[in-house]
Amino acid sequence: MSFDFDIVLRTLPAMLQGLVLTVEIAVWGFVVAVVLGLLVAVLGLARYRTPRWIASAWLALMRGVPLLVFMYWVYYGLPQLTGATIGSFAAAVVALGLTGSAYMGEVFRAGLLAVDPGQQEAADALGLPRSTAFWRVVLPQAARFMVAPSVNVFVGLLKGATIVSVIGVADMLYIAKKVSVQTFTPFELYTTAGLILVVITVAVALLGFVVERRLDRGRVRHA
Amino acid sequence: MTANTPGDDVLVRLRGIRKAFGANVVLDGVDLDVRAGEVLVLLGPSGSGKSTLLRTVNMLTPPDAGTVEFDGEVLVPPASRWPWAYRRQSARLARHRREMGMVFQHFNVFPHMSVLRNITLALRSAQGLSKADAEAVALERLRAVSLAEKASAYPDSLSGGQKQRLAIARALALAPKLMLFDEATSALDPELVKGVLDEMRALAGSGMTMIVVTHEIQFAKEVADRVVFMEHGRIVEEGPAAQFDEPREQRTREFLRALSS
Amino acid sequence: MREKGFAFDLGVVLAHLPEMLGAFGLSVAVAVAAMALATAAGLLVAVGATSRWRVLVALCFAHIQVFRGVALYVLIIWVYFGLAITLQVNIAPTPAGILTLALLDSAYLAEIFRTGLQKVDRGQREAGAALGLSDGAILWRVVVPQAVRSMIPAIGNQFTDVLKDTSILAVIAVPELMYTSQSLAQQTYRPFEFYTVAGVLFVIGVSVITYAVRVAERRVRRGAVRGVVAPAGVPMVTSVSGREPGEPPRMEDER
Ligand SMILES: Nc1ncnc2c1ncn2[C@@H]1O[C@H](COP(=O)(O)OP(=O)(O)OP(=O)(O)O)[C@@H](O)[C@H]1O
Ligand SMILES: [Mg+2]
Repeated sequence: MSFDFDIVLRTLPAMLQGLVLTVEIAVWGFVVAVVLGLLVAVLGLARYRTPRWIASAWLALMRGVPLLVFMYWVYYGLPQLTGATIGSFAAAVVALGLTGSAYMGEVFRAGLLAVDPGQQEAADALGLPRSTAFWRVVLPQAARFMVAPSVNVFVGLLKGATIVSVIGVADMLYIAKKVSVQTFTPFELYTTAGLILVVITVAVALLGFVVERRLDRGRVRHA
Repeated sequence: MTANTPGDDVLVRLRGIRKAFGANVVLDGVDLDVRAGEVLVLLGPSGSGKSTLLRTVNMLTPPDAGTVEFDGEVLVPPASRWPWAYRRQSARLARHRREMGMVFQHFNVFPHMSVLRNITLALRSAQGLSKADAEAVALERLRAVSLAEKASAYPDSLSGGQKQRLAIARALALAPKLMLFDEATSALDPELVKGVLDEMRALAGSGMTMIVVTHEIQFAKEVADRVVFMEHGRIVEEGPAAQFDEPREQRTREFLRALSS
Repeated sequence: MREKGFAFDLGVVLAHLPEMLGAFGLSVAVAVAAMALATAAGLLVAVGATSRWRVLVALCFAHIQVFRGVALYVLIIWVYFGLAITLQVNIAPTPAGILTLALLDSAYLAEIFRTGLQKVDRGQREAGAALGLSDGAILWRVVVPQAVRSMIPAIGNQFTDVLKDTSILAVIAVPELMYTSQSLAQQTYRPFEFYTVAGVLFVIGVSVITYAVRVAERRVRRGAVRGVVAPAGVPMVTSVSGREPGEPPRMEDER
């Protein structure tokens, strides 16, 4: 068995273009997840029962449905209901964002709970408006606890985003598949794609590590 | 500020305060008046409910029963089911809280903000001062606690004593009518205690109304206009500072003896 | 599409419900099988990663890092369409899917086991040694019971992930829930109905696991209170914060 480097080199530019698409989907999905996740976390910590109930129902749903099911549901299912079609890129972003919202909701919640309760008390004792206490006192301190797990969520979404070719997004694996069917070189192209993706996920995870260190160092430098 | 002698007008009036955490009854019907300009020291064994009582005054711990009156108004903890009403209630409470400063055992300064911003935050976002005005007030407060040169530093670089002085300056910047101190020196290394006590002493001398929970008995004797001894969530004895030397109650005597030994 | 109506067609779902439930049964079976294999493999890798042999430690760490970095979809395509075709091995989709899932899963579980074992206070081992317990007794009587407590939630999460991940096996035609939903959706032109039902079944499955984990956790915690050992990761309740014990801190004022 021989490894056909030639086909790898010839397909690589197209595959890398596909990779950009995957990363874009993951990034947009992450943005959606962050916004929804913050909302869910705040609802979940509210003092009223109804928003807390909504938040836990949301979490149960979003945590329970597999990403692939979400993608099909959004891409094939929703149009049947609404009569309007949705692009595969948008469907992928929506599905990733919904799945990610559960994970980010947990990240935000845990981060907010990790802040010393004395900080909220001090803000209360000072008579700060509740929004000031949240945005200026609690959330900035919670952010430190959120960096590492957020990076984890992003890496998870990036890995999840590798699946988007199933709804027709022309990503790296889509191209690898198309070319390998023509040239019968699946091993070469899938190996290449797999290695590239592993390198990327590991790189992002490392980057998260570095950012976290930086943040902590920043705090020490004030000292 | 008022004169150094306590006036007759009552600033804080507690009536029938009860609080239980689960089955643990922590405050069992406390009545207490604090007059304007008075320095009141709360004493009592650990777990007797001193901190909880102090925290009911600014509603950090709302009582289960009883009323807290501050400056002639009854404080209502926000409890409405309706968001808009809740909002109104909590804004009203916040307004009252700005008139009472609280100093915590563990400082609770904001670690992610510079020393200056720790003080300007409430001035700007709650009292609506401009940046320049707020910073002017803050710097003046910092100068008063000898921290002016630390204005742009972060709390991490301060000693415990400096953090506590910052917390005092932060509370005083809002020009409160009442100051609450919950064991302000208990978390400090012994050599840092004096600096904080000096600030508190000066504040007491300036006529500030203060409720002080402390185990620094010497300091308490010195600044207190009145002492209240608590046990099991009740006030067992209260009287002028001189009562330190001649407690009426057996329990109080035992407690003081244990403290000074 | 409009002629077929917007409403949820319950009839078509009911007509195919047995198929869907059967397929979900396969999903669960695949998840359980993968989880069982992965637990065994993960334990070996975790023990290897904490062993004294450098080479073994490096290999185990590599296993953990690589397989936690790989996306299941990519791995399964590589295994099933790349490797198997090139090596001309003929392996049925379902066992191939279980093995691939187990391979990935073993890395996650190994990491859970490893950190769980390491989190147990050193003093506990030393106390065991000081009492003259054998190494085995220290490991199995002292360290593992405490480690298990802290690992239960993570293992539960992992199980839910595996159950959800079985849906990806649809791409190699394992006739589990997702694959069955796809074919029914195509046959009946009712994708909305079948993907909704698939989603609901998964939500139920995941919720059941989550609930079971919570019960298990509570059991174990209660055992710990009655016993001597404090459960790892459960902070003692203190009163400094003015919160009720067990009540989470709120962002708002207390009521
Ligand atoms: N948030 C809370 N949840 C449950 N119990 C609490 C809470 N706050 C206080 N308690 C309990 O209330 C009792 C009184 O506590 P409090 O802090 O008021 O005592 P204290 O007099 O200030 O004691 P110390 O001198 O140790 O500070 C204690 O038994 C304490 O455990
Ligand atoms: Mg106390």
